[in-house]
Amino acid sequence: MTTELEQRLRAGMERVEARDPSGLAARAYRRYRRRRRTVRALAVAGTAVAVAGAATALAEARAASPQVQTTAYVASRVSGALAQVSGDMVHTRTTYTPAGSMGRQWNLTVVWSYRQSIRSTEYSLGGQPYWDTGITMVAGLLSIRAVNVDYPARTVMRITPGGDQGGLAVPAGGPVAPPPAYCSVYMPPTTGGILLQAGASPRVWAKYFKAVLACGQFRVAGQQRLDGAQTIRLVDVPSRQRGYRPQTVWVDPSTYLPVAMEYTDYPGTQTHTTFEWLPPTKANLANLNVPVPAGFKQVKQQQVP
Amino acid sequence: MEPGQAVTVLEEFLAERGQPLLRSAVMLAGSQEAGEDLLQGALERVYRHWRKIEGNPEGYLRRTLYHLAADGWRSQSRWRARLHLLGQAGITADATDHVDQRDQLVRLLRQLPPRQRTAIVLRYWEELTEAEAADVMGCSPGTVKSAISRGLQRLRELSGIQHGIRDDTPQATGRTS
Repeated sequence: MTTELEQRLRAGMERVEARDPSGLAARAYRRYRRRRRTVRALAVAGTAVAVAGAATALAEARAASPQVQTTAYVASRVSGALAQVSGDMVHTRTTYTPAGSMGRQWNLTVVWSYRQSIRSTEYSLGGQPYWDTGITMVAGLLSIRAVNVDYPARTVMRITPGGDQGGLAVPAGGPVAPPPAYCSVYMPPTTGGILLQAGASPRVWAKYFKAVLACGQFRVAGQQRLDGAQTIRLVDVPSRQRGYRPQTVWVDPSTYLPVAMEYTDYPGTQTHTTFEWLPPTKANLANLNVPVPAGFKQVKQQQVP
Repeated sequence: MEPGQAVTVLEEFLAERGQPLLRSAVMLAGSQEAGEDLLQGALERVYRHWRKIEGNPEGYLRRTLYHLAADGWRSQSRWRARLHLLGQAGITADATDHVDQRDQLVRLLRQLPPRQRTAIVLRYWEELTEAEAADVMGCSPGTVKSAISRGLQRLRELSGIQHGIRDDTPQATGRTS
């Protein structure tokens, strides 16, 4: 049977407009060629590494290739370093290119996370705060305390444990956590959704990096200067299971902590995240607070435009 | 035929019948730009498998588009998580902000999980039966039915539209499986 909702939905769909798709096939073909070239180049490089590895194996029967040793060593050191900071704060800054891609109205996400609390601030393409959201999980995601400041709307919404917003706040699927099968996923537990960010505390980041390094998702690709500092560069290993999603992690060679990560959102937008692993000092913890500008209107969840 | 020659074939197809397909992509992806990206992603797959495609590539392209959408193309789950949390705060304000409830419903589609959104677009835009939609999505009709039902329920919650039933039912027009 047809409901009013379905009628309205059909009518709304009729009104959706789309530009002339001319030229899309040619653009897609250019992108297809670029990707194919990249994959071939990687395959050639991979073959070269394999040949070198085989030669080494022949010469030194029981020795692994230098590449494998290096990656394993780095992976081990990174896992160890992350275990040391899992109780600390993590501060991430994520930028998206091209600006405004994927319909985003913001181009920078700054996140502070510590234990059960997280604050995420999005900045508009013009560099102004767009949303500022703080969440503290009181008893897991079933009971949270949250505040969201919507700058364009000049509103603030608060959710308190046991309040009338609590039930609506919890997504039907329950808390979103990084899936256990890290080896088969191509996206890190990062940026964008506050619930995932809540699941992306230092402890979860540590778990993620440890897993993907252990299952061979990355290989060491030399050293690189990043923002003026020397780093170890780890790149994604193309896999038939995951497909090829260019992903890079940069690690501080002195601490072995990840300092940056970059991945390519299909089909062509890039997400670049920098990490700071900080002690939970009073000054650092203060960054978890969400300031509410004077004059902003308090709204209920359903009234948020 | 080489993939290079496919460009001409697909450009001709898009010029003739591409706009409805792009409209589907816009609805599935949530914006014009994202819709074009989604369609381009589907076109790339067509190029990749061009040599294996027999006959008219339109069906393959259409099926690929919906497969990509249903598989959560671009992994928008993180974004949805925030939308769930913040009610409708994530709906982008734009020049069409003044438009009526019908358009709002289409914009609310963005808040649905990919499979629900895909099933709804196939059902209400492509006017496919549940069995036909299941064939396109590569799942069972029951899964499609369930996805549509849950999607509509979610849209109902988000939009505040009550369950007003009309008598021009799809059963009467033979559109359900």
